[in-house]
Amino acid sequence: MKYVLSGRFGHPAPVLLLLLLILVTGLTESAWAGPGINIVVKTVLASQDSAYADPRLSELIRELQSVFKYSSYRLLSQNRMKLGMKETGTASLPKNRVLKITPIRIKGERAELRLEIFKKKRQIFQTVIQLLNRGTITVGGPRHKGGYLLFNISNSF
Amino acid sequence: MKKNHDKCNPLLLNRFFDQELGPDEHARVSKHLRDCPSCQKALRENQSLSALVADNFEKTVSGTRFDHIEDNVLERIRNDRIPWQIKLKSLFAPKRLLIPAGALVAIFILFFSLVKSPVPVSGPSAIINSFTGDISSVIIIETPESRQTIIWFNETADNKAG
Amino acid sequence: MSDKVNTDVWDEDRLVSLLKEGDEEAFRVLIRKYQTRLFNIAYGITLEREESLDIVQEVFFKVWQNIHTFRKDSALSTWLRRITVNQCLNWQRRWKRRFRWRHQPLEKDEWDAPELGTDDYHPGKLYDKKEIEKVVWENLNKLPEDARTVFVLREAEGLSYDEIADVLKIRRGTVSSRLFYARKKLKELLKNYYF
Repeated sequence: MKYVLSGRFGHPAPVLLLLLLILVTGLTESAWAGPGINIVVKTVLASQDSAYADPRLSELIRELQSVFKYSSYRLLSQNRMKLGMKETGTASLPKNRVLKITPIRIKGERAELRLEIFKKKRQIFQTVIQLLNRGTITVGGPRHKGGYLLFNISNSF
Repeated sequence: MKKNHDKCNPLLLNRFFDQELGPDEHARVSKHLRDCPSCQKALRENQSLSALVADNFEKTVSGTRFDHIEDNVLERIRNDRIPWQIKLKSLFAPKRLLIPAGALVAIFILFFSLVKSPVPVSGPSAIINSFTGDISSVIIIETPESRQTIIWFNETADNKAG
Repeated sequence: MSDKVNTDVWDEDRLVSLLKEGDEEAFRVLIRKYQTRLFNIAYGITLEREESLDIVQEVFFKVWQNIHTFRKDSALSTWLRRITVNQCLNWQRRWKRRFRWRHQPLEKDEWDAPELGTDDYHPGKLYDKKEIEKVVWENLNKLPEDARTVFVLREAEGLSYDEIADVLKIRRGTVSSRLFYARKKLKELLKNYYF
């Protein structure tokens, strides 16, 4: 092997270095993948009203139906943002609520994000999560118009 | 009630109904029952409830098929009896399939390492590192199929009001 | 041949010693003798038919794995019931979170009476036996886990207070108070439909 490599490229070291570079690039590709993380926040109203499934939420509804009993899922709003590390994006939510999202770092196939929900400038909670690339998390609980609000947050990088 | 110089005692009546009283207590409650319409009614209700529940259990059992339990359990028992060496052997029994299967896996690995997508998902969609807040409760769950993480929180009454 | 097994002629001592030897026929007898009774307990606690069947299977398999630890301190039936209750409670704990989502409304007090006038609970349906059955199970599910377990052991299995105390490893007085509470609560919950 050494002979073959030496024969073609003169010395094996550059080849090994090249292979190593490819490997390292491959492993840390996600860290070098560009300046930002694409984030989509979908605000959904889930309720027991007459059955309604917003076609834009079909995938999400299929998931949620395995754990929730709601018959109606309506998309109230959708926010898209591209955020750099430590950059905070804001999505306005119903009833004076605000969701703030701050990417902290990318670790392998997961992005570490800080999520904060405020209500009238008062922080209700904050959480730090590691979200899979192209993964989603749903945060829910606040009552709204006879149902419950769900915030579906997805990312890709 | 007062005629018997004895007050209604629902707990005692309950034990009377379940035939869990000693002879003296049993006699005392029997005597009390003769002149106490409310305890008579409570006893009748207990009997109705008991009959209703028994009837429900009977219906459920009669509508259930038990025949597979025996087969399933005995099969598991037989499998559990097989020594681990044999189990291990049976894993590698179709040797002729090993090479093609290995090659297929290698091709898949090569393919996905080249295109770098999709990345196989392992674990929940989101791992919660920390959670703090002014809330009354929080529950973290996963959907059963694709393990999508869901955080469900209840705002405090103060928050609700606000 | 195996279909003709008469479960009554096997006394407990003989059954236990054969079970300890790993005798398959003994397991067949055990299953036939206890499957319905254990199912009743499991169904009374979980209210899920398929899950209860799985739990009963799991109980018999656990018996197979642990029969050597059975010391005859209590009756075999007590031991089986104890394993069943534990399996059910483990199952309940595992799925409790999900049940919370399934029961609407989410934040409603568990002790609230069912809403009158809704399609599901209309009093006009009282004479529908299926409906009564459904209402009984639903309200049984509203009892706290410990009270429901005692109630099920008493009503489904007809166990005495001492036997229930033995299965659940609680005091006889606790059995009495939990049973009293369960009946009181059930009668309240079923008041609009039955009593």
